[in-house]
Amino acid sequence: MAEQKRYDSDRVVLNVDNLRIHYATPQGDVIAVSDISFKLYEGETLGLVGESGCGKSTTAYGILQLVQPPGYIVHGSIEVDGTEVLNLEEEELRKFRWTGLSLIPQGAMNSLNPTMRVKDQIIDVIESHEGKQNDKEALRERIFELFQNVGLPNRIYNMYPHELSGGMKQRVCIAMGVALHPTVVIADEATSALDVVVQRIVAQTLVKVKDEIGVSLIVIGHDMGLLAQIVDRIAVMYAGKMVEIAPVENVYANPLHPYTQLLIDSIPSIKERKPLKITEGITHDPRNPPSGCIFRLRCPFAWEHCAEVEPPPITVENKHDVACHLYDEQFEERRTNALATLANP
Amino acid sequence: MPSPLLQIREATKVYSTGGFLGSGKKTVVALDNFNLTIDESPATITTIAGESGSGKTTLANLVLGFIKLTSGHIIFDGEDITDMTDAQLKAYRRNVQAVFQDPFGVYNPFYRIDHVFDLVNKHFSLSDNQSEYRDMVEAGLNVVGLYGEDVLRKYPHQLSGGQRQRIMMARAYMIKPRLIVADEPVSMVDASLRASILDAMLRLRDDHNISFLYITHDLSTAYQIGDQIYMLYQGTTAERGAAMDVIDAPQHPYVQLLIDSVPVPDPTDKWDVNISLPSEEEMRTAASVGCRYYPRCPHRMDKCLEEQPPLFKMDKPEHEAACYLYEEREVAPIEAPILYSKPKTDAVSQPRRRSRAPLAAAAVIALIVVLAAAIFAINQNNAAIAAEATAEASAAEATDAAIAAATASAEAQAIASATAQAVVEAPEPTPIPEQEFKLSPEGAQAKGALTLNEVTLDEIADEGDLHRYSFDGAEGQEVTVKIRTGGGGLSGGNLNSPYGTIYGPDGEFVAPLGDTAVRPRRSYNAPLTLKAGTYTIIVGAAQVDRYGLVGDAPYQIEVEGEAPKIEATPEPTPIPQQDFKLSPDGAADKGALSLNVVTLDEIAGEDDRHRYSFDGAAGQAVTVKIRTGGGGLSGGNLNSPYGTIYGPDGEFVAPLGDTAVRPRRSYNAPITLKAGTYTIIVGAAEVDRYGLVGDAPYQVEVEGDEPALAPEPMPLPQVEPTPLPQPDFILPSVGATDKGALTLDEVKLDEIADAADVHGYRFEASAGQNVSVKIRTGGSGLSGGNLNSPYGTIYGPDGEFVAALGDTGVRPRRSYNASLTLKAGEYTIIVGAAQVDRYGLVGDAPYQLVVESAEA
Ligand SMILES: Nc1ncnc2c1ncn2[C@@H]1O[C@H](COP(=O)(O)OP(=O)(O)OP(=O)(O)O)[C@@H](O)[C@H]1O
Ligand code: SF4
Ligand code: SF4
Ligand SMILES: [Mg+2]
Repeated sequence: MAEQKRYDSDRVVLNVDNLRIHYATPQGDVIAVSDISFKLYEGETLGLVGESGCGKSTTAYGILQLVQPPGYIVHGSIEVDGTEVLNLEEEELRKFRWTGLSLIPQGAMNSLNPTMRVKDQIIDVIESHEGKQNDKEALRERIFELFQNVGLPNRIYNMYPHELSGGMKQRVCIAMGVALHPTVVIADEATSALDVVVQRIVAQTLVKVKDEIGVSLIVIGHDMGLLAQIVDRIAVMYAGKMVEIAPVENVYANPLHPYTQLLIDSIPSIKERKPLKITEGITHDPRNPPSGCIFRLRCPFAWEHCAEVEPPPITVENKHDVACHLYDEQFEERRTNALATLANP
Repeated sequence: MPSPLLQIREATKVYSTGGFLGSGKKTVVALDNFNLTIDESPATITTIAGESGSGKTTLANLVLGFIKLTSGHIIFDGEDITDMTDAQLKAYRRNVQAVFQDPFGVYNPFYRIDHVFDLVNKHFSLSDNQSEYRDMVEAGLNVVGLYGEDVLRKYPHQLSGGQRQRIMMARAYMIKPRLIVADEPVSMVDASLRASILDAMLRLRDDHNISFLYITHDLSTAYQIGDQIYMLYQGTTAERGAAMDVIDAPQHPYVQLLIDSVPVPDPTDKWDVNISLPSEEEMRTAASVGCRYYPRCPHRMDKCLEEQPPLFKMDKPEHEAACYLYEEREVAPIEAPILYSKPKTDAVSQPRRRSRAPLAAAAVIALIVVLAAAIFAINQNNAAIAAEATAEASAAEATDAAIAAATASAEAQAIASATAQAVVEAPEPTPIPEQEFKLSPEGAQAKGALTLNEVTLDEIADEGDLHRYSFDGAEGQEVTVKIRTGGGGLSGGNLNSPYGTIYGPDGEFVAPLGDTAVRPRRSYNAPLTLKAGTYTIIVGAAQVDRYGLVGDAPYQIEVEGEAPKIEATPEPTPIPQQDFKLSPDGAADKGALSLNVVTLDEIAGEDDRHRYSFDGAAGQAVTVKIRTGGGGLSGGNLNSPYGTIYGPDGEFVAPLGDTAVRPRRSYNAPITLKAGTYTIIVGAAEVDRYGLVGDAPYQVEVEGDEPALAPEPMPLPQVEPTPLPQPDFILPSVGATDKGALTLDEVKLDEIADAADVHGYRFEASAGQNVSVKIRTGGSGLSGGNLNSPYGTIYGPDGEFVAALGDTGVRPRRSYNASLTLKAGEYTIIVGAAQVDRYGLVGDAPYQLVVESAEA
């Protein structure tokens, strides 16, 4: 894929710090996102993975300040280009969505308004932020340019959503998401409803648009194959915690956290038939997480220390953090043994 | 020879689609001459793969009996499913279970998850013993990596898509069918948990001999667990064989592209080329003769255009590819279907087959009595669960009684078998009669007589609402009674379905309009040969079905057929053209139309007329368009509002309507305007010769270019969205139906029927109390669309306005919350339909309302 890096890959565009989000239930709060911190760099594509219910979408909605009740942000800080999103007034926030941050939601193609033409929906996005556009010709050109960015033909300008295929609708949503050149675009499962050929085209579109427009991208997904193809780094979440964040090559070649290892191990392949690696999923009550390490109930390497102390993120190399005691230098011996069992199960 | 479980032979399914914008009828061949065999034993996982639109879901729906083949055969257990008796069909529906791609649609949002299992238990009588049953549920859940205590008490919206999917897998597992049709079962589940579902499939295959028709576009999972694979391309098999053979070494050019597009989970092995698709047109106009892949194929040859390539045999056994690159190889033969011999009058010789005996007459009567009691119970008691419990239990008892009676006498058996044969050979095997769907005429509201070939439209309000129709039959007259419902925008969801029962002149049960299918269908037909006398049709909500859904939707009913041949049918009178001229007098003013903006509204009845205006400039060319019906707009095919356009001086300009036999879904009037204000009147047309009234929703639009010399259009007033409340969203506190007091944290469920329906709730507050008032609506299957939204207004103890539950956003939201600190006294919450919003939608959906305690 064409490398068009015109950006500063060390500049932090999104800094999420100690973000915590709860869902209130009559039996107590479910901790959906538990004090997570991470940075997104300019021009970067970050994949966010983890099993269903681990807090991926809640994190995305939290960043956008779109958490719906009974969910609420307990504490944290979300800075986009130096602006603290949590301090924005409702009105500023409304302006900030689409221009600072935008979301391509899960099942985006069903979020199009069935009674409005494609052009009117895009115009709506533009005009709701930039006011009424009197130069219709320029507006149309701008929309055509967006179409070109996402590989849509101009003839769909006047069409209604039901006249488009799923892949085309998904690309309309991408066009809307990037229409106002936001700093950060979050795509929640943007391609999971599509078949491989169309999925590949949509994913390529996403990355191409990202490069052309110079936004940073968070891709939430569970297709590890697809993520390997399009992201720069991967953040792995487990039960509301971020357990590892690392450059994509490291994650696939050398996953460090025991949960990441499990995740990589269970990727289905079309090259060899492997025994299925069964995992039971999150086993604790999300209202009452275990002490110490969040993964210890399922971790093959857990020992007493893991129940006593919560592992802090340890930076093992540039842009690669892992939250597991095994990577604490004082437990080096344990780590060596653990890795040995991995090599010869 | 292994005995086949499922055989599909030369199956073709053609859909015809009415062009939404009047573009004419098109047909889509979704499945073309398709063949497939799944052996009974050992059980296998047969994958159907292919791109979107290749016919995978069509195939699933055909096997599940939701739709019918245009031609060809689906043979299950040696019996063509179109020839099955009712008892066989019932067994078939138990033996073939479904797990769908988006399981949200099958959940009722207002029931907890355990309801899904309770209904399965009731329907299939899995266990009477509560603790044994709980263990079965727990075991089913554990198979898919879930725990009862975590999920059973939750509401569907509290679970992730993946969890909902796994619950459907658990549900199917509990019924232990012989075939599970799984349409994209893992597509919403993440990688680490996928394996547990695939493993569950393998365990079901190996430990319980359950076969799978596994429909997916995910080739990697097919590779891991699939036995056979069929690669579909535009409704035809491009390649088939053992999954590993096909995926390791694909032979067909399309399959090669597909497998090459599977993303490799290795960041060091990235896609090196960007692929693109040919234009949509090119793909769709793929040659109707010749190879369907021709337009995209890199190896295409002239020969490929002549005739569709047959499946040629590849090197590996059972591996076949439909491509002329392998022309020199042997053509794979199509095996003749194996049909088990039919047990004519000899039911005993075929012990594995279910009895064809219909219920003995006595048992049928017993059944009617029991069911009438059950329905009476519904009338008495609106609590859905109670009604369902009563009815299902009674039906089960009655069925047992009926079977006992039917098998009691060998003589009766013989007679019954003979009768059954006659039944089987009847021309139209359409309806699937089920005792549960018999509605009692008792207490039904008389809706008058139906006229032959005239569609009547009405709506069932709730479980207690029954409608009674009558129609006259002549001896030997052939008619088809049709009931239709559903469809985007007509009923609330995909699954609601009114049902009916037809009684004869002597009060005898004649036929049901309904079934017990997993998914109630949108239409049921009962072809009848009548005797002389007056027939009665009762329409009502069916029993709550196995997913807890009630058929409370609008419906259309029609008796279709030839009039009895007594006298010549009078020539249909041509409808005078004036009929399509609607008078502007008394029309409701709907304001001005903006150029190229679609306005959506709905005609309520024959007298409801809407008036629109638009400004014309001299010489400006516009097209006035009216559209209705079809895709998601109205539920029916034929309803059609009509309009009339008047000019600036009140002169008639053009009609939007015609006198055609069938009103169309859209009319366009291209006009060149003069300067001045035009008026469009939209209303119900005269009842046309099919008895149709144009009472559907419609879209109206004036399309065209801005007048050349017109001044710059006034910029829209830059109304910054005002913080709540908006006057429009304030509902008056008087005139509401009193719905009683709200208890803190208790969720109320109700439904707003129309714009005039306003509900009032009260709750008592103490000084300084913090609460959060929440209103929710919408969601698939709940409201009719995505956008409907009831709204509310909260008033304080002194009648003062406190807060609004609603906004003026572009899209009404599905939920609104108001966090309040209260003073002491009684608060009032008024819920109703909001003003018609800017998309013309009225908030007439069901809603949930709760006052929750909150922290300060
Ligand atoms: N009710 C219908 N009316 C008209 N055309 C239809 C209907 N249902 C399906 N089709 C058409 O039939 C073809 C096959 O559709 P089907 O839904 O079976 O595909 P699919 O392989 O399941 O696709 P996907 O992977 O997107 O679910 C498509 O061209 C589709 O547009
Ligand atoms: S901290 Fe302990 S329990 Fe947690 S992942 Fe590491 S080894 Fe396992
Ligand atoms: S038959 Fe011809 S057009 Fe079709 S796939 Fe083979 S080579 Fe291509
Ligand atoms: Mg499908």
